[in-house]
Amino acid sequence: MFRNTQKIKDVATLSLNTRDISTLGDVWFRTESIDNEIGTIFQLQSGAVWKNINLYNLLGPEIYNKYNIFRLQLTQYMFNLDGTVSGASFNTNDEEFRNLSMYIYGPNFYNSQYDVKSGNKKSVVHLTNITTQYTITTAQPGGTSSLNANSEYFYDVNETEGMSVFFNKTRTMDIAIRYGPMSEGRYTSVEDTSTTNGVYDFWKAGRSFILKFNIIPVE
Amino acid sequence: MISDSYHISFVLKHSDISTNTAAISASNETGSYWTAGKQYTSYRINMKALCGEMWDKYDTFVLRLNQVSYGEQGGTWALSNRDLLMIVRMSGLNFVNSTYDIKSGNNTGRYNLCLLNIANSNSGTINYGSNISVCNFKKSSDYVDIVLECIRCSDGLPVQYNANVMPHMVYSFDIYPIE
Repeated sequence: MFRNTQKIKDVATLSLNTRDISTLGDVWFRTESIDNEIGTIFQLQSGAVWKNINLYNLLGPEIYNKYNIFRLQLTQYMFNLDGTVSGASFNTNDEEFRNLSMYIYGPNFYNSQYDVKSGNKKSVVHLTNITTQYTITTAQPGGTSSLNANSEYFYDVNETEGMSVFFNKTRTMDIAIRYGPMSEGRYTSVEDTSTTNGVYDFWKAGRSFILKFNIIPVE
Repeated sequence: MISDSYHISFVLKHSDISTNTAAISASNETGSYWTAGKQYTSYRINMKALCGEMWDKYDTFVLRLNQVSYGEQGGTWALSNRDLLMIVRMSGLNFVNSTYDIKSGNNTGRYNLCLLNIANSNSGTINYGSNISVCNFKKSSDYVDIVLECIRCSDGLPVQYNANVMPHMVYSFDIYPIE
């Protein structure tokens, strides 16, 4: 296992859960977004926004006042499927839709927005990738059995510290997470709603997803 | 620079409270657990004894989770698969931050220690990278009640177990000071 012996000093943790935006069981079937004062869940489960995250409260005054640049590090994410929903099967034949890229919008990024194709900076940062979902098991992370209609989750423990972005301090910020097929480089997966047994069914059956971040000050 | 000499191991395990894995609840001078076994566990900890001179010398510390482990007891313990997908919340320490609640915009005193997926009928060990689950806490009273609470990711409700087969769990941490 990768093991970095560096010891973090000041740190804060942020958890983003779609459950905080809506607990509606059918949220993932909706063809329109759900939007409220907490955040937004995009139509057909293609991502979510968590609004007005108060960085001052999150970090505490001591860390907020002491630093100006922070590192947002993705440490864990988990997707929950609802086994009671039919059609939760995940297609192992359609590679395009089981190999996704995860993107983040919202923070006042310090860097990392460079777009290779255009040579310019964009407002979105490629955060990580989600691949080989067909090997996910209900037993435990790292298992090898196939995901089936009764399976419940996609889960990962991130063991690299590279999946992070740097951002400038702002009192409040929105954070948006979106997904798109890795092979096509799209930032969203909503264009093709006709896909069956692909990622759309996968996300449709989802009850929630949760992401956990470290926020680490840059000295 | 932080010296490795100021670096202590800290392990919380259900077997310190009771070795009866079939008990729905247990309580003694070490702590307690209840709600069908392991959903809510409280440990009474003497931080001064745990940390030694480090407790007197420093004011702020890092708590780092290294490993969660559980042993097979036979049978399936979760009532549904969603009871296996949980957030483990910790409270009791004087957290500097990391307790932010998205819905309210305020801090709660409860820290999301980790997202945890446990197997329903097998043993398991989850090793965490060195900086996957870390938080800061400040010195408070010498005696604290550290509570670990398992809630479902999908709806925030307590996980539900068949008590007589739910395995005892072990949480391994380390603690080091910030100079």
